[in-house]
Amino acid sequence: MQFLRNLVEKQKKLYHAPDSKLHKVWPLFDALETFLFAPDHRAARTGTHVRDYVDLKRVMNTVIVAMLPCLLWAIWNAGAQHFHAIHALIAAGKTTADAYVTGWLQAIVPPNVTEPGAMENIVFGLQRMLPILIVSYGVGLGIEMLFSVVRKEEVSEGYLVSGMLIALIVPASIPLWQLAIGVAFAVVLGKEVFGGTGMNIFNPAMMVRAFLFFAFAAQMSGDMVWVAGNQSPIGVPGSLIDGYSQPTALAVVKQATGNASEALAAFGGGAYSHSNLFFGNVPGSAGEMSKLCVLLGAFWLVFTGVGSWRVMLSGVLGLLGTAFLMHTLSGATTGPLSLQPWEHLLCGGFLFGIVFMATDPVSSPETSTGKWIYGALIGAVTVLVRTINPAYPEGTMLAVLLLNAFAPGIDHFVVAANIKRRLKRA
Amino acid sequence: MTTHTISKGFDLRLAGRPEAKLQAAPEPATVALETAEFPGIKPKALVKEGDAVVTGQPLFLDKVDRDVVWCSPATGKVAKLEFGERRFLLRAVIDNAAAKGGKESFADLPKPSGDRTAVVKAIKQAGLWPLLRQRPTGKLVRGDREPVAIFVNGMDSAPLAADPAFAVQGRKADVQAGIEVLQKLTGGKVYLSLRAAGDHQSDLRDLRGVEVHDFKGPHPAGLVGTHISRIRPLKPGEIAYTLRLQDVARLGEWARTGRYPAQTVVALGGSDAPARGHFRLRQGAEVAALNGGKAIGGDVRIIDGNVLHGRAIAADGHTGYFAAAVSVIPEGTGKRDLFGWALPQFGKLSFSRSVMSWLLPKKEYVVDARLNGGHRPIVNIGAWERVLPLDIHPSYLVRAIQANDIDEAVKLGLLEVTEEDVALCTFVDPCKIDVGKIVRQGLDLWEKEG
Repeated sequence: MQFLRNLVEKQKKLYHAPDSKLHKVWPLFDALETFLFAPDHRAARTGTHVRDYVDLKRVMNTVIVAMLPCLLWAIWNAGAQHFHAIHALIAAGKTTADAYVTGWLQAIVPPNVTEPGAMENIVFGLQRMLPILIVSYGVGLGIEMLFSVVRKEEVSEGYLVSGMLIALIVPASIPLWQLAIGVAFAVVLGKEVFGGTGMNIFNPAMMVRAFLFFAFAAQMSGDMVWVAGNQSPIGVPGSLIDGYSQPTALAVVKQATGNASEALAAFGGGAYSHSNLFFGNVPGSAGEMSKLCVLLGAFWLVFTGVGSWRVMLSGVLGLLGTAFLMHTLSGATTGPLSLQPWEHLLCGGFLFGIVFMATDPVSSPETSTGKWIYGALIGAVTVLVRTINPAYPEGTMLAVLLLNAFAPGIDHFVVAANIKRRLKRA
Repeated sequence: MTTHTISKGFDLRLAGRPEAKLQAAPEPATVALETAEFPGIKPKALVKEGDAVVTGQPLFLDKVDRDVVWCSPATGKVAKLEFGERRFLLRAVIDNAAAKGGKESFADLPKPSGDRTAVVKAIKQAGLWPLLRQRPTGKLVRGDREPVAIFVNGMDSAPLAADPAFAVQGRKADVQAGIEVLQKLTGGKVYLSLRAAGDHQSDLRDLRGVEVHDFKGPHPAGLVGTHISRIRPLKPGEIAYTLRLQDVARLGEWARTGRYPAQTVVALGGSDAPARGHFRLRQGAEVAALNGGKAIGGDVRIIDGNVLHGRAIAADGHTGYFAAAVSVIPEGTGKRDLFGWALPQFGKLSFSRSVMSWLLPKKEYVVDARLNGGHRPIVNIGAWERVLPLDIHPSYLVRAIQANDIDEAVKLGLLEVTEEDVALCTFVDPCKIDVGKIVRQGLDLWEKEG
């Protein structure tokens, strides 16, 4: 360790002094140095002399740890869904095991296509998820560092969480160039133009998703999911299995002509059964499928105090309450309104969104009362989009972004009430 | 008696708590008074270097209010008057004759008598006026506005603090006399806050002329800002005086004897403190007196006050006018943890469970003066709110001050806090924002704008 430290100190001379050759890129060096060693800052000589061991790096790291179950499941599930689809195609006589085309990692670790096991799933999952993570972090951190150098500020850690979130909310079949454009758009226009970490209005990861959703609607509409493959069929961007796609659970609900709950249960011979939806044995965006993994992350966030339990709880209550009201008042026996209220939790990305996206401390309200209102409204708006809106089957993304925009307004009223209370004492 | 329960807050379990044992510290070779402890004053020296002074003799006055003086806490010779820019008096150092076996003599101070104006003047001329602080601002009392109440703080929940009830043990007559002085200063009530079910309080429960309030809960349950918010919040335009129980005893001692009360009780604690206990110490004594006359060495930070709110003093420096506790913690020079942010860190003190010390909780933690992170813009994960028991939205208050919008800051509760009340916010903040400094900037700006 001392060796490493000496090495860093030696290099530091090239960057630190204002007249040194490489001082222009000092924030980059500082980012790397403080990644290794805690910064050499001490408390001022007057005021508060001791500080908590927690810093923003640790806060962000805690969120990343909370997302690890989702990431691991994403890797596993990309592979599992892939081979599931391949087998379905082989069974239908549309392809053969010999015609299987391997990807870059499978070229090193060849898969057993006829009897794929855990190894095959993981290798395929890594083959898809690693490039997505690299592009997400590479493009995002690159832009953040560029802005830090221009602004002569320390590089902030906010993107460490965004980068992982982004990888988890895009489909594993996404073309990497689309992802890169989306990340660049979200980081520059969603975050840096406002002043960087702590200043943005919208959750940057959700901005990526929204950008992709509207710019490349064909792949991201939310009605259909494709399963990641190793080829880009002609005329289709992205690496997916040609000729194999299916409606998402929410699209099944949306299009149900009869009772939505029954349609969901009957679809694909139980593909969207409650347990499949809960454990995440379904195709979809990389990380949000397994509700179990999301709940593990939620527990960790609440336990460490990093994520707001108020937002999570009020979100779930808002979703259930609104769904219950809509379901009961409409008395619908067919169509999306006929879905059992609690099934809304199992379908789509709401749980992931309320746990990891809505709790973003920067783009959500800061007051406790505000958090209750904000979470409940996200739940309510999600249900409204899912059940009443004719175009989109999923509403979580739109609900979170909408409430991000309203967050300062919600806080304004809570703070105004505080001021009023103070004046009342007079 | 009312008991107030504070639920929001955090007790820092630091190593080296001062024991409830009182011993006399040796007479210090020198004593000093520093003007930096009293922001806003314009000092004018009343003595010259080399002058002989007696205990209680005025050393300098405040040109803003020329009745307010600071008295010599020892008998001896003026060793040094340090001046800063534009001959601003920074420090007066007195050679303490008693350290060389000399005899202490006392200036003849007027005792408090007559109406409020006369009592105020007497306190000012006895050099004891700075013991009283004013809310809002938490600074020296200015002007002749009458306070609506006086809050006496008989507890201290800060880490490694002295227990005021222990410090005044056996001085019931002084405390009672002090309260009688305070009663003349206000038409309102004198409140005394005590720790619920605390020790050493037998003398304090049946005092005349005070309304006792009990407080329990984690720090900041023992801060006067918390007490005011629970007992009698101030309305716009109102002021209150605040002071500590041990200072009431000093007022009382002067009222009874007519002598300057130069002896104080100081708690010495902290992981690197040479001893842990309570010391009877001359006000303004050099800090070495707490270590038998030897300077406290090593890579340590010596803090006059407590680790959450205090000022660092040099090893050859002096304790302050208000000193009730001195904490010695490691400075942490050059210590840099490899992957400090990523490792579980079982042995580190934290309010957050993201530091894994909750898994193997220790009874006491050694904490140094490192920030443990870099400065970042505000990312509010709700930690401030969890340690602030006041009806204030701290992040909005801080932003209003940073935007120089003092009207808005006042509406948001700026006048209900001082840096001491928000010190825990500074402690827990992952973005390492000095909330206390920002609050003080806001209060200064408010004063300036009148």
